[in-house]
Amino acid sequence: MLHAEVGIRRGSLQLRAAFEVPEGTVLGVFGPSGAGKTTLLGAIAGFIDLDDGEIRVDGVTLSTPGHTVPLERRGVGLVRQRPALFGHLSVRGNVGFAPRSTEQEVAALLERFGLTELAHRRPRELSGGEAQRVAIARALAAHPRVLLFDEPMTGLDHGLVDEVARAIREAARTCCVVLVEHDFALLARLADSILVLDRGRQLQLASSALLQRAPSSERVASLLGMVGPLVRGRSRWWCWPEKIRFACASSQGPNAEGVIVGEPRFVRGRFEHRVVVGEVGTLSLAAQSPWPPGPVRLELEDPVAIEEGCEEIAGTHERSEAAQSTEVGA
Amino acid sequence: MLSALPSRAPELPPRGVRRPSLLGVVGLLVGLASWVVILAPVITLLIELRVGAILAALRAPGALDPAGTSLAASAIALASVVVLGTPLALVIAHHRGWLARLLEAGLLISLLLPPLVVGLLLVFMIGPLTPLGQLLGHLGLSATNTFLALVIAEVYEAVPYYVLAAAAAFGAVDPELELQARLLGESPLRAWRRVVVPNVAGELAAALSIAWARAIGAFGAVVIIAYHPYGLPMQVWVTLNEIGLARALPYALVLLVVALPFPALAYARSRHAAR
Repeated sequence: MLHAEVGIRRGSLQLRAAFEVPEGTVLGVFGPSGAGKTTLLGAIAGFIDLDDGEIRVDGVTLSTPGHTVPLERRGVGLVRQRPALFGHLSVRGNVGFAPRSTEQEVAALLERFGLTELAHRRPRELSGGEAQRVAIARALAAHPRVLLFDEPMTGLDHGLVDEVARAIREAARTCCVVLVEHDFALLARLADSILVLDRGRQLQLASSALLQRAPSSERVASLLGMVGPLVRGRSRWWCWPEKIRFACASSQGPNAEGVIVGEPRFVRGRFEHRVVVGEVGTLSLAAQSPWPPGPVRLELEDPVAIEEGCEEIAGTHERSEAAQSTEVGA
Repeated sequence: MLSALPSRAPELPPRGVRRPSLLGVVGLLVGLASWVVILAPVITLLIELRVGAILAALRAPGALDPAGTSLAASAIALASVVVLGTPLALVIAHHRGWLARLLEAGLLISLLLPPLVVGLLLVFMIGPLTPLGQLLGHLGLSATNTFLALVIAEVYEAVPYYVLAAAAAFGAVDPELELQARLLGESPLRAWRRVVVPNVAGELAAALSIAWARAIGAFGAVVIIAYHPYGLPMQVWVTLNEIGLARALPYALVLLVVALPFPALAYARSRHAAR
């Protein structure tokens, strides 16, 4: 179990976050640039000192203000966007680099991550996905109690992203994983719970499903990629863009006020509509049935429907569900 | 008229075989010409030398002593350069503040000093009448016209070249590699040895080659502070002055032969590291 209460002041960034990660689970960390995500990983890895708080793993204190256990004795692994493999060693040499690894473990890790065939290759002969798998296997060979990932899938092709994502879930079987990722959809797929950071503040910590259903604030909803607000009476609603579908108001009736059809345009063989959403402006969506052509023709400023109804939209003015999540330093 | 069409497509050159372009041929010729110009003194040496002259020069009593002196002094000087220079190179490579830049600037200044001036300054620094010279005297040592003086002169001529080249090599190593090695469980020293050193081996070998060439060929500072015992460059100079050019040239060849194996090995090592 990773227990972290992190307080760090670095330049203009004041980072405050508190969370726990049980073994075998993945904590996702999400936020815009400058939120403090990488600083948070640096504090857990041990190359950034704490100004406040404490980091413990399985009850053993790793960092407090004024005391940081050295990197080599923390039992924390780190895989970054650049895998930083040792170019002078083969794949097998990289995976077996950790002094604690044994030959049997290295062979097992090569097998587990599909690297046995590549064992004699040099890092420069690997694809991006293969290199990341080697980096993950290398980190696991050191028996880490915590494994940190800092945007390990950035810049990879779609197929390689899936390959690395599987490797991350595989790695999480034996340790606590903290994953920083800027693609929220991917993060939601991989993480058991997600911590949302913004300019050093912890905005929300909740399970992946709960976070998508009930962001704790409009800022969180906006960061996650939801659109809004849709104003209905005194309530303000946010929704996921993919839930918006074109439908004629007269035939089905809009189930969300404030979502109306804007100017259509023809782009690369299909129609796109500018959909006006509440107060935030416009959103481009590919045209879908029934327009065009179809029995129903949408006109400018026609209202359009939200596919699954209001349940899919977070009620950000009420904190009933979101109250289950924690908020620190707000 | 199908029969008029070529029955087979024109044959393409095999994969990997490229027809040389005109620009490539011109570039190759210019490169070869540059090589000849740069190596002209060595080629001249080989043309001018006669086997008989070499044998006569080398058979003279004590003729090969300077080679032994040069090899021994340069080996000790190189070891001293590595011990003195490596920590300094690491400081320059890993610190970004004004101190590192100051250290670097100091080395560049010492690089700009003509070796002859370095020799003169060494006289003022460790000559027999200076405090350091007197201290050495109390220890039964002298830094003027001794083997120690030869080593010191060679160190001062070689060390800036090594430090600047080694600092560039250390600075080019991705710090993430060392960080990863430590996160995997290695102490800072072992992480440095297992990850940094293999990554800079080629560049360090090149830096050592340059330092070796500077040390074994040192003359400017040597002629001022270590006229005796003769190393090879001094032997060439003395023979030239006392006997003549023809007798001096064989020692130049000996200098080349004695100095060459180390850079050749280092070059092979750096080529291996680059693969």
